[in-house]
Amino acid sequence: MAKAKQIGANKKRNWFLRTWDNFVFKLEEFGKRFVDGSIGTKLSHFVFGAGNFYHKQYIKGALFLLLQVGIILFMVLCPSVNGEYYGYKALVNLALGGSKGGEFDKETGEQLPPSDDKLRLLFGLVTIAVIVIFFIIWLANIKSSYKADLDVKQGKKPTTFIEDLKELLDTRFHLLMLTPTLVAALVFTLLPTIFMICMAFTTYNDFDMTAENTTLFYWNGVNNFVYMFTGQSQLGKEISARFFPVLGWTFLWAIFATFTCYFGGIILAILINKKGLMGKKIFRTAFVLTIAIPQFISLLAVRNLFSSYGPVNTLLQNMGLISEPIGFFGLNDNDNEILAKVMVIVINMWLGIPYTMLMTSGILMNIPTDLYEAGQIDGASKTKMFWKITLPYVIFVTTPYLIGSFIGNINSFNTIFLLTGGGPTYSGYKAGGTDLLVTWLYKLTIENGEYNTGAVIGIMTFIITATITLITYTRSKAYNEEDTFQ
Amino acid sequence: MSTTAPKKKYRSQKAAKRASLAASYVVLTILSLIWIIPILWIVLTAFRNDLNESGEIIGTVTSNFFPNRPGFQNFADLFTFKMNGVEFVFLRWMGNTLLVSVVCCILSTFLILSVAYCISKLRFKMRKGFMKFSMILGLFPGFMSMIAIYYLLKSIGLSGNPDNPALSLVGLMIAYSAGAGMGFQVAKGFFDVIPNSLVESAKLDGCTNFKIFWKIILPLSKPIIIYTALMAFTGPWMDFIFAKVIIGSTNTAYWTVSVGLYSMLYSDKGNPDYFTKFAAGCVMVGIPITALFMFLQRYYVEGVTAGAVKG
Amino acid sequence: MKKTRLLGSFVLFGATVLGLASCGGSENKIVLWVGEESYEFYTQACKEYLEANTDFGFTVEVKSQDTGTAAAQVIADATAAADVFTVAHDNIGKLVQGKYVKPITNEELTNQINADNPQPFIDVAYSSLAGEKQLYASPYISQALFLMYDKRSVSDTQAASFEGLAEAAKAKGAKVKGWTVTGTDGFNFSFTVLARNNETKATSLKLFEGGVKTKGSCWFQGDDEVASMKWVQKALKDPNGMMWASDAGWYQDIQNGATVSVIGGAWHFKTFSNSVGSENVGIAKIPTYTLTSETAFGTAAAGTVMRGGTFADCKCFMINARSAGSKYVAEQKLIQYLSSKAIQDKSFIACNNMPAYKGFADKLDMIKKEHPELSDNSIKLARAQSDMGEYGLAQPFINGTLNTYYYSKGGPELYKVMADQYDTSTKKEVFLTDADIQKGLYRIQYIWQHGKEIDEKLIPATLPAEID
Repeated sequence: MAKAKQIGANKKRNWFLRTWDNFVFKLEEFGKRFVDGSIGTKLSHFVFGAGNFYHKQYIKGALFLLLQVGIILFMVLCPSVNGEYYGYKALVNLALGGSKGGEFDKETGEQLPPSDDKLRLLFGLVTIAVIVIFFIIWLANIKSSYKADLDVKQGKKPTTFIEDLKELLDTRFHLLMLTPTLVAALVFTLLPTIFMICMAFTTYNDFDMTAENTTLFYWNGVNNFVYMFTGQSQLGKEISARFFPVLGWTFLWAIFATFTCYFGGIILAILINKKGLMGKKIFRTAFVLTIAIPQFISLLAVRNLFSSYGPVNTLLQNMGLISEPIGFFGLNDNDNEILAKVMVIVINMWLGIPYTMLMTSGILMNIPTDLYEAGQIDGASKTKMFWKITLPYVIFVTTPYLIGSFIGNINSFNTIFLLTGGGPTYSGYKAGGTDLLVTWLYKLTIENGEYNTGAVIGIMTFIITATITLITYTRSKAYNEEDTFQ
Repeated sequence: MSTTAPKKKYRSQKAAKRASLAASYVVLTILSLIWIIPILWIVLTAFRNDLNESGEIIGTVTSNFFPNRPGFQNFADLFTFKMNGVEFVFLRWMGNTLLVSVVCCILSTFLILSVAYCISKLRFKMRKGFMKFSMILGLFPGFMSMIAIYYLLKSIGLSGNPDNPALSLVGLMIAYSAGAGMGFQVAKGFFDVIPNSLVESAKLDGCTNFKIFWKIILPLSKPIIIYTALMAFTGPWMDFIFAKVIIGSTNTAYWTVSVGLYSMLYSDKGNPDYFTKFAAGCVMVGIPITALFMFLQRYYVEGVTAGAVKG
Repeated sequence: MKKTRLLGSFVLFGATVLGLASCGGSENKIVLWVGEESYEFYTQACKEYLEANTDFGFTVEVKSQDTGTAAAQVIADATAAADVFTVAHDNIGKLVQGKYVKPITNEELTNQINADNPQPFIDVAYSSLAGEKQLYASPYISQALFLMYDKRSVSDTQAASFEGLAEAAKAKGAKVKGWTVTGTDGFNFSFTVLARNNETKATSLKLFEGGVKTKGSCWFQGDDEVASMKWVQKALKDPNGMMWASDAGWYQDIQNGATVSVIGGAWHFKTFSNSVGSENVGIAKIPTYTLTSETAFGTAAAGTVMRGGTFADCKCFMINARSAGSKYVAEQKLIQYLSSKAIQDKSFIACNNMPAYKGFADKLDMIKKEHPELSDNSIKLARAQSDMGEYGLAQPFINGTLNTYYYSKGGPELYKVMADQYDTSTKKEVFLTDADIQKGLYRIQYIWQHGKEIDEKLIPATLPAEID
């Protein structure tokens, strides 16, 4: 879907048609299985694993049955954690939204702890995920039974459980290898992401939670988006006033941060790898230190080095260059914003250049020598060979890296958060002068509890980065011609 | 081109070469000084035991670059010291972090390599779909999902568990490793360079895919295994936001070292007076990580190069 | 692969066992959160209590949690929070309204709270936000803002007035500032908001007077407030006047001689003492300032002497809503012990915590006699806080959100912009005239009442004389 959107209307139609055809085909297959299948397969549509039992695949059948019973019990019994329910009750809670806290237990008369709206939303989503899994297992169970039917028809024996397991090591090896990652990613990456997206459509933030006559959370449709763009609420007004300036700076930052480090690194690598230069290792070690040392340590070191009474300000004062300490990182409200912006880019070079330097060094060593030999035969000078061979080669092979690091810089949290904290700050939840979208998001959500508004901005940020990535990525050689290198 | 003595040309060329080399030395020396100074400053600060007028040690940032009174007091304090009454068990933090990072290292490396191999060398339905899925998922800002992850872990008792705060370390391991498989790009780049013919000929010999991975590909992949493991290992030593949420701000005994260090300066438990102690802690953390990194630098370069070229 | 997995699960298992082994169940354990500065003291106090009461039936685990964020932690995740926790009293409202806490039902404890505490603290300990009026909190520490100064630069007489501080600063250097505040949030920079006439101790400020929200019970555009704002605007422009804490922090400012005094609370004392050296610490009430023709406004005429005010705050113990049965009973017994006068005294001696009960200041001399080891600074600290009580205002509670509004939603930020007369987002000079200042104060007042900024179109051309 996302890809189709990018590539243009023509292909989009094709994609929809393709998907539709696919769907119809799947549906036909489903019908065929029901009609053609053995009694076991037919029964499988209602009782998981019935077909497997029919074909004497007892272990498999039992596993399917167990899953069916387990999930149904989960849905009906509604296990609760910390006073919030899973199962059908979670679906009801999810649809209706809020609840009031602190009801009284009917039996003991004791006041119950308030229910947690975040859990409510989360458990609802988990329950939906379980239902989706239920359908996937349902289909798998029918297919498995039907496959056994076909095997019998062809005069083969249905596969045993051991054979199925063995298949996992060979033809279905990818299943074995990918399942742990997929499961982990679904639970700990996809589900939380959907959770976040949902928040954008609720009234959820920490302040309203305790406001008078307000239930914990309820669905708010696209109002949060509307507010933000029309500036209907004061918060929306402030957010919309700052959104585009912050977006602009985020891009400016990403461009500068990417290209300064990239070309700086290439130049440094060429300097270090110069023929005849001694002590290469020592120099390289000096630069690589910034990669090796945990980033929060080196960034905090720099921040304090440049603080009002730190060595740098004192040195400049002693030299008579400045009369009062300079706020390099915009940590005070009235500090110079431009200076703070320049400083974060410069410090980012300090962090990023060694990385590109290492990478380029590796590439420089791997440039095919025949390129240079050809150049020598043509009588090209060293400088010319550098401009015509070395540089284009390096740039050519590192283009994917360039794209990746651009996207990485858009979401670069540590540098800004640890150096400037987004400052010079504008009041409250308004973004500061050096705030990127991602640090602003942090302020809104973690520090100010404006989760719904944060989620709106998160979604907008995502749409922008995803668009750029998909366009550049799907058109890059690395993606389209990935097999040609092998 | 000209008929002048080639010797002279050679000599002037040599001089030019020397001049450019000398210039390189100068530039590189200045640059490496710039690169080292902040780190040197932190190290020097760790050894700073300057006294104020009342004879108490000054712990804040001061204007002098070099310590007036060097000593080891800051390091000694790290092991005995209580911060606003809270015991600062620095060695324990180191131990916690080591435990988390070793487990993460094993789990993440396993996940990353298996995914990277699949994507690089096997062809199956949904392969490109998976690649795009992982890329898109990676674009969402991570900490927005932090709250959800906290509650997910909490609902299985692995975080925010007042009875067993130690379990939040297990939760942290899971949280760190769970998303690891999605960062397969660098390793995939490396596997891509291994010729497909190797795989195909092994298949003709009747090897299963598992055997090919285990017996043929992995032995060839030492650099990328080390690179991946190194990255996974160092991760927990650097994160100070996620770990605090998962472990909780009151469970100081189970903090990782970066949460502890960050809190020494910038939290309600922190104090500006702890800056020299913070620096000492940084040195304690920095030395092993830097040593490990320097020791494995070669593999790191190979990994970075592979990832950049083919990622 | 098998090996990796095995090893992985082995380590996981090991960690789990480690975790299980390290702690017992929660059934018989009461978790107590106290502020980090008195963590050690209460750990010891609980230990003594358990030794004296072997039939208590529960163990107590004390943990350090910042009092300022404890309430937020409880709201964010009540099940992970402590059984008994301490919060600053401005959080009581929202905790009660959100039903995160249980009322105090124990008769002895109720009597103790009612007998020991000054009326303003009792008023806030009771709340009817969750239905009928009930007692929810047990005060045990009081706190107020006061002045800390560097004795090497400031004499005791100079420390009595802001003019004196400026004079002392001028003597140190042309650019040395007279005083700084520790932060720009609603509490640490409230001394001008709450300023009072030094003689009459009256102010035109009404912050939900009587704890009710009626027409006119909230009033922030009075003459005193306008004059105070004009004064602070001028002080910030004065080269030897007031400064905001620099990016290096107020402690560095005082340490490096950029300023000669700091307005803060007891929780800043230790750091302040480290910054200037313990024998150079001076402590006093928040100084006075005299209005001049430039800063006078309306009834706050030139020559009026004003004194910076403070919120008279207390910290209280509260009980988590999940408490039940015998644990609920035991928790209240524990609170009764921990907030008793004897323990409050001990806490003062051990860690400078200013007791909340009434009449403590009268006992100071006696305590000093009994405990000669107490430093003069501790006694001065207590005196200054108790003296400031006369110029204090207990924070109001109309509903659970009022104080959230006071501290955020742009109120304190707007007040700072007004003081600076400079809007960093538009880069324009603002609030230059009296009318603008009044309008700004009106906007803040609106935030206090409604929890959001007023839409600019809705600001009336002539400000109302009363507001509902």
